[in-house]
Formats: sequence, structure tokens, C-alpha cells
Amino acid sequence: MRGIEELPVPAAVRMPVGRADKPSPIASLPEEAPLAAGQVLCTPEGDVPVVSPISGILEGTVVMQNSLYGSLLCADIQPEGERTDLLPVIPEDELTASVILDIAREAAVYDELDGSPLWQKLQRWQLPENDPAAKTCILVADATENDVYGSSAWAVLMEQPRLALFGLQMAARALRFSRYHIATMLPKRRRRTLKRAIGRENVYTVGDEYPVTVYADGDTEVYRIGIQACLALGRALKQGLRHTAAIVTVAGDGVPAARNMRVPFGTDLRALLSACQAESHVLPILGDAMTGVACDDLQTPILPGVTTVLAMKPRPIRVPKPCIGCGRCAAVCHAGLLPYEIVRRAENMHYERLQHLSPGDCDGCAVCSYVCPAGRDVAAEVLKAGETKGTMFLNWGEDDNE
Amino acid sequence: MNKPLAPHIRTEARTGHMMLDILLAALPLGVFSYVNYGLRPVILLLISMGTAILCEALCCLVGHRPLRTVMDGSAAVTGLLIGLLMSPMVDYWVPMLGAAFAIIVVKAPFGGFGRNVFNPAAAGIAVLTFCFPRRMFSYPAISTVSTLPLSMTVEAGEAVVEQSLAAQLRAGATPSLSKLQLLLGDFAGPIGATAALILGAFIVYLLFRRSVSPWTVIPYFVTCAVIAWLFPLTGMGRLYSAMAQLCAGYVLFTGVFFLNDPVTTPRFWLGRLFYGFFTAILVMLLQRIGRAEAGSCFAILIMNALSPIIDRWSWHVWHWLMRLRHFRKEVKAHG
Repeated sequence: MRGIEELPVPAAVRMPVGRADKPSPIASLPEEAPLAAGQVLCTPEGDVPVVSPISGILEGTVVMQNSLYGSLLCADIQPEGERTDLLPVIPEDELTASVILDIAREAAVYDELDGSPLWQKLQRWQLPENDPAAKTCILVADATENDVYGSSAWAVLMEQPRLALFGLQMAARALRFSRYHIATMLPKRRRRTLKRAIGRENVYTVGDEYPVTVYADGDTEVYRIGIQACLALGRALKQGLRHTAAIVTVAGDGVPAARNMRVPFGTDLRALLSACQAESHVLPILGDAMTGVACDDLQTPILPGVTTVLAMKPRPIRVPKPCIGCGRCAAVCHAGLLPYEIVRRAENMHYERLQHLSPGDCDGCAVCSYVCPAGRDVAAEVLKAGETKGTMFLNWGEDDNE
Repeated sequence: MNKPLAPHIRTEARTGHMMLDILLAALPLGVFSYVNYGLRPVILLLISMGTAILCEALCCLVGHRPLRTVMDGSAAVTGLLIGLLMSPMVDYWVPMLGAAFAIIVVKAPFGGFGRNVFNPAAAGIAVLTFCFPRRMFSYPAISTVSTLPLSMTVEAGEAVVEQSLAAQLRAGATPSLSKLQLLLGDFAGPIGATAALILGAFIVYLLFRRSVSPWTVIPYFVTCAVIAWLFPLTGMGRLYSAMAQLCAGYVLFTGVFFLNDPVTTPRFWLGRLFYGFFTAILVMLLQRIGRAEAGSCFAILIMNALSPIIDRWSWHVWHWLMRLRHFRKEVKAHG
């Protein structure tokens, strides 16, 4: 496992500030305005502020057509200087639930598990004071690696475990939870080092399985946030730093060695892959090997939610064969579904009988597609089936209403 | 450019590999038949497999399906299974007819491999049993032949015909075979259905390779053994009778091959368990009251028809149980 390396300063960073069909929210900022890292560019209503990920000069706005994110309006920032815009640091004993929520919002902390702002999650999950449910709820910092290639969560834990734990403690304080821990599947030796650093009681070892389904013992209600979000919150509270970069594992057979890079948001894939000496003609995959999205647009920016980029050499796409009914998909489904039967009913347009099999319970972990000897994209078909409701005629009606 | 969908890594297992496993593991059965009867059974096996492959290719051409689907090995396996259940002295055209029926009538009209409702090989054998019972169940006595002539027919009476073990048991006769002979398959019977030790090793190999599911195999063999133990057919002790009943006819062969056809068996583990259990009951029942040898094939065909229902209902039963458990837990936790 590699430590975290700093990405060499990219030629330009394009930070999305809004949609291309809406007026520019940063129109008030003058062209060629000097920006500090973490400086607020704009604050959309009811959302976290958009901050400059690097210290640089604002060159203006550009509209970027992206195959993944659609049409984005981006602030074009050229790197320059080493200015940093800091938040005021508040002593720990003055950090109440509302203060922590405010700072999580001001620092624009994102949760890498789904790319959503952390404060929104915390606000949603927050318990009233003296709620008895606080005893049965647990906040878990998810530092598991659900991927054979990924190691960014482990790198965070190895490099800054105390700061990450502090962030987790503060998030739990904001939620008024009394229980929290970091869930990880670190190898035994490193786990021992981690337990020595932050305390045995703060580390929970999850099973070596895919996908991880058990994050805590006993009958508890688990609330999960990412370990990078914990670190970002810890840095905001202790050092006044805003969340401006993601820690991304770059791996795959198209790079000489797997690396963990600290990548400012808005950096494009081309800059990241060239810094990792990726071969030309690789197919980048945003996300892990099981659920990631193939993305051949090298101008795609790294945004919150991306923790792994795989540079895979192109390989022939297997022609799917008919299901032979080996039942492996059902045997491995952690949601207890019958993927083969769902796919069969969807293929035969038995929509009215599809819902009995609860295809909506599929979380898209794709393990059924992985084990399928016929090479079928079972997970994609189940997810598609999960979107159907009632009969096909009802589905048509739904489309018409849109 | 076609973008690959997730997951971007896949298991190495392929449908073709599973079929190849069966073909490779059946090699010892071919060697066993060669040692017992000479070249004739090997030619029968090759003819049966060749006919099945040819018919599959023909069906691909007629159905406008790519010819490469022949390469998945399923047709070869169907042909192999039909060949293995032939009498060593059967006419060459009999397995050809069985293989052609299996592919052209039972498999191809439903859409080919993966979509057939019934096990093609079992259906092929069932039809041959109906049409040519004398040819199918006339076995040469193993002790009297070293090599069967290549151009022999059942009618010509060129070999000493012996009653099979299954027929002897059904008639209430006491077989003159030792336990070792039963295990080694040293008695008259189909080409590949008598060698208990080889079939046992074969099922262990397939379980180890995960080509078959223990949820079907174990309930089947356990139920068969228990029934054979409880209701002996000979007066030579329960153990001997149980061994003889398991080695007779297609009982072992069914548990090793027909029962583990992935296409026609339930996929859910509980369904497989029920399937193995009920197939065993039916096989042992038909061994007593039906046509001794082929009872297993009919049992498999009946269970194939019920397989989708068993599969779905077992899943629903399992989910109801899980919901009930969850509900009880909730009630316990929150009063």
C-alpha cells in the first residue's frame, strides 16, 4: 500500500460552478481575479459554497460538455501562488452540534461515499437532544475498500488517523450520537498499528467480503460517512482548511504502479493519468472495478465522490451467452434476490409478476455479473427491472408524463 | 467505441469450462468401458457425441444462430450422456437416434442451451426406452467377453446376454456379486453407469470445481441411501441391499449427471434441496414399480417439469420465514 502523494500542479483546474443553461453564479468575480485555495467562488442557495480548489488566477468561465456529467459551467483557474483562505478555528470545547454543522457547510466538506455534501447528511440524521435513540445509533467512518484496486481509505487511515478520528468524533457530536467507530478491513499488522494510534475501541474490523454489509455488532442502526469526509471535517475544525481535494487511488494494468494521489477537485483525468505515467489508449474507469463507470472523455474533472480511477487496457467485450441457470448469481446475492428469475421475467415482459421478486432491493454491487459464467450483465438487467413498475403499459404512461 | 459495463473484472469461469469439466471427467468412464468391452463402446460414445454435435450445428443453421454456439460443449455432453447409458452391444444407430431426438426435439425448439425445459439426454433415453426396450436393456455378461465384435447386433446373439442388476433386484433374485464387484462395476450394465467408484470420484471432482451444487447432490444420495436401507430388496443384509440398489440401473448416474444439469434444476439453494430430495424418492419408487433401468430418466423428466415451481416456491417460503424472523425480532426489541 502506497502513501499519499501530492499531484504536480496541473496546467488548469476547471471547477464546476453550475449548469450551463443557467446564468453564471460567479459573474460578480472580476476576470483574472487572484484566488486563494479554499476561497469561496459562489454559494448556491441551500447548498454548500463552491470553493476554489487551488491558489490561482480566475480566467473566466467555460462551458464543458461531458459524457458523464452533462453540460457544466466551470470556473477556469490557472495555478499561481500559494495563497490559502482559512476558516476561523474554534476551540474544541466550544464546538456544539450547530457550530459543527455550520463549519461542515462552510468548509464545503463532501462525503466521498456518494459525493453529497456532508452537512446535508448530518442535518438529516441529527437527533434531538437527549433522544434515547442515541444509544442504539452508531456513526461509522467507512474505511473499507470494496475493491481489489482501491487503497485510498487505507492511505488516509495510515497517514492521518488521529485527525480522521477527530473529524468522526465531531460528526458524532453534531448528530448527538454517543457511539462511533472506524470500520476497516486493513491487513492485520497495519490494523494493530492503527489500534495503537487511535485506540482499540475506535476500530471495527469488517469481514473480508464483497460487498461489506455488517459495519457494527449487535442490533444497532448504522449511519455511514466516508473516512475522507471525516478527515476533511477534522482539518476544517482543527486547521481551518476547506475541502478542496480528493484522495484518489490510480491503479489498473495501464499504469506502472498503483498510487494514492491528493487531487484538487476540478483536475481533469488527463492530468491525473499523465502524472501517474499511464499508457496511452487506456480506458479510464471512474470508481472501483465492480461498479465504476467507463469514461473515455479525458477532460472529465475529478469531483467529490471519486476515490478510485482505474486505467485499464482495452480488452474485448465478451459476447453474453444465454443463462444456463447455474444459480451462482442467486448464491452470491447479499440482498437474497433471484437475479436469474428477475432477468427472465423482465425479458419475457412479465412485469406484473416482477415486483414479487423485489428487484428494487438490488443495490447494484454487481457481484452477480462478476460470477456469471455466461458473461451476462446481470446487475444492469436487474437494476433496469427494478425501475419497472406494474405492467409495461404503466411504464409507458410514466414516460408520457415526463 | 463500445464502453464496457461494470463490473470491469470478471470471473474466469465460463459456461464452456463447465461443460469441458464434465467431458474431461467422463474420460475414465470411456477407459473403463474400453477395458471391459473393447473398442465398441468407445465408438458408440463417439457416434453419439458426433451426432449430437452435428444436430446442434444443423439447428444453429436452421435457427440462424451463430455456429460457434456448438463450441459451448453442451451438445457434446448430451451426446456423451446418451452414449454412456447405452448397452455396449446396442446397434450404432440407436444412440444416433437418441442424440438426434434430444437435440432436435427436446433442446433446439425451446431456444437451445440454457432455455430447454427438459434434460435432453434424459428425454432421449426415455424415448429409446419406449421404442427399443430389448436393445436398450440387453447387456453382455462381463465375465464372458473380453472384446465385443465391432459389427454385432442384439438379434444375432453374438454375446451372452445377462440380466442386469436392476432387473435382478426387481425380480426379487439375489445377485451373485460381492461388495467389491458392486463398487468396481464388475457386472453387466450400461457403458458408463456401473462404475460406482469412478462416478463417486467424478462427483467429488465436480463438487471441488464447483460445477455442481452440494445442495442437490447430498440430499439426493442421502435420501436414496436411506430408502434403500429402510426397504431392502434382497435378503443379503441391509448394507448389501442398499449398495446393490444404489449401484443398480441409473441411480448413481442420475445423481452424478442428470441431477446436476444447471439448466433444468432449480437455482435457489432451498429449491435444489427439495429437488434432490423428491427426485431421490421418485427414482427409488420407480426402481421398484416401473421399468427398472430407465425409471430414473422418467423421474428426472417429471422433476424437470416441476423444477420452476419448486424454485419459485422455495424462494417465497424462505423469504416468508426470514420476514417472520425479522418481525419476531422487532416485536422482541420494541415490545
